[in-house]
Amino acid sequence: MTDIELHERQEQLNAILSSMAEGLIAIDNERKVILMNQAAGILLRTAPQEAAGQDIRQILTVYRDGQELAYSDLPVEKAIAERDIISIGLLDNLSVKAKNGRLFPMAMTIAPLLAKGEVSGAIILFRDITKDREVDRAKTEFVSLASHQLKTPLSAINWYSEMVLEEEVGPLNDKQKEYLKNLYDANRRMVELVNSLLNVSRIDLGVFAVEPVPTNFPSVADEVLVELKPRIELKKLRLEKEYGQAMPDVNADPKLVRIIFQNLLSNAVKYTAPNGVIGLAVKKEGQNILIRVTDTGYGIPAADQGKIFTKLFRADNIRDKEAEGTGLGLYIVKAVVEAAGGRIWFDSLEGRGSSFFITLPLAGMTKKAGVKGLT
Amino acid sequence: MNKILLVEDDKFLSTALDDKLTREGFTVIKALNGQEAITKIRSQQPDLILLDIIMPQKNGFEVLAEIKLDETFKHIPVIVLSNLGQEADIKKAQDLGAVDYIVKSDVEMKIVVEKIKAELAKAKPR
Repeated sequence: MTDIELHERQEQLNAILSSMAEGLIAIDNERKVILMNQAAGILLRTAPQEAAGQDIRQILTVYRDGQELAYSDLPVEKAIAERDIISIGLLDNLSVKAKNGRLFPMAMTIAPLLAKGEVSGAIILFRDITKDREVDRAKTEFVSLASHQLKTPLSAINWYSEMVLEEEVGPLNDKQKEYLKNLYDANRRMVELVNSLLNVSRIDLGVFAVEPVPTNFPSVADEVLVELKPRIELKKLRLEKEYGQAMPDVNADPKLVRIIFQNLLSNAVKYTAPNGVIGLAVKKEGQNILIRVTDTGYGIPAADQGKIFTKLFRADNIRDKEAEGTGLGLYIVKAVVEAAGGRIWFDSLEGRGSSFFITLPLAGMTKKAGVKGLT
Repeated sequence: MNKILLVEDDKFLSTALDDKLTREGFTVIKALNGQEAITKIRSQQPDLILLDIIMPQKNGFEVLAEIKLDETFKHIPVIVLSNLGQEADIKKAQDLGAVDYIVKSDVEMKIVVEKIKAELAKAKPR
């Protein structure tokens, strides 16, 4: 290549970089900026020439929920260490602060920069997703509104089928009773689904409230078990219960505690074959309250284990066995536990069963004013 | 015979409750919106009011506030029957003087009847 050709080639590459709509920053192994395109400059309100040679930590400050993220939490290091491409999207809820103080939600892809088989830095590609965020919010608000509107006709179906089923307007034959009972049960499930959708939209909009009062965890668990009793008996499941002695009341939102027990226990009942065993333990462990729900059920296939807390996800092995699940329960539980400063994890072996563990600080939940409570 | 004012704008729900309560031996008066509710409270003097919240022309909260300000009618027990199930809504209704709060989609009709009877029994000795 002649010098002129080389120069033309250079011009061409510059044109490509500066015409890109997405921000691009390349860094070297010292985490210093070696290149920043115009779009990145505009997004970050930093002139590309000015950024060159600066530490990436000075250029790109990332926030989650208003808190600045430590650089080590940013996947740049991970991408370099693991030679892996990492994508951050809408659901990761990250924002970038531009030099002028403007915070914008962003999506990001980080790839290791490879030269002759060696990692020599990383390439960070990012864009402003304010519009995507708005669309997502509108969708969530729509789900919330639609769910609410559904409740009136669902109440009507509930009430009319209840009256007919109770034979208030004349006797029914057995088949009619059976069909009507199915109609009634299906409608109850729909009400539960609508309630779950409303909860999910409140979580996604970040508007759910936490109202802590002294709460006795074993009592809440027992209330849930009373409701589940008919299903436990129908499947002839054995229940093993273990409550720690003198469990103190914990300052927690009883509705949220109930959501935790309700989802974990009804999952255990739902996903365990007849004659199986389900276990519930609630005890103190150090500075935490530990909840453990075990079952000898269908278990979660290894391939699905990374996804079970994802919204609407249902494992392959139970979709044909149990038609009832919505894929929302564990998503809701995880959001509730994490909002309360706790942790959730599980062990599972397909065909053998699952154990779910939750720890919540004995210090209790922090009050969070929100527009909506979960139901 | 106890007279119940049923304030509900949804026709299907209103008919269901009307039929059920009539079979239970109550006299049912219906109002389809908040304004009509106020008029009927004045003209019919019910023993108990079942009150929806989201309604055209004056919502349930406004109706409740108005009843409780009126010396002649403020003793009438009001049970709110709504699909708004939020803590804040329930608290608002209680603060305004409702004796009970029922979330329609979560409750069987027989529970609604039980609650009405319980409130009437409490109100009786007056």
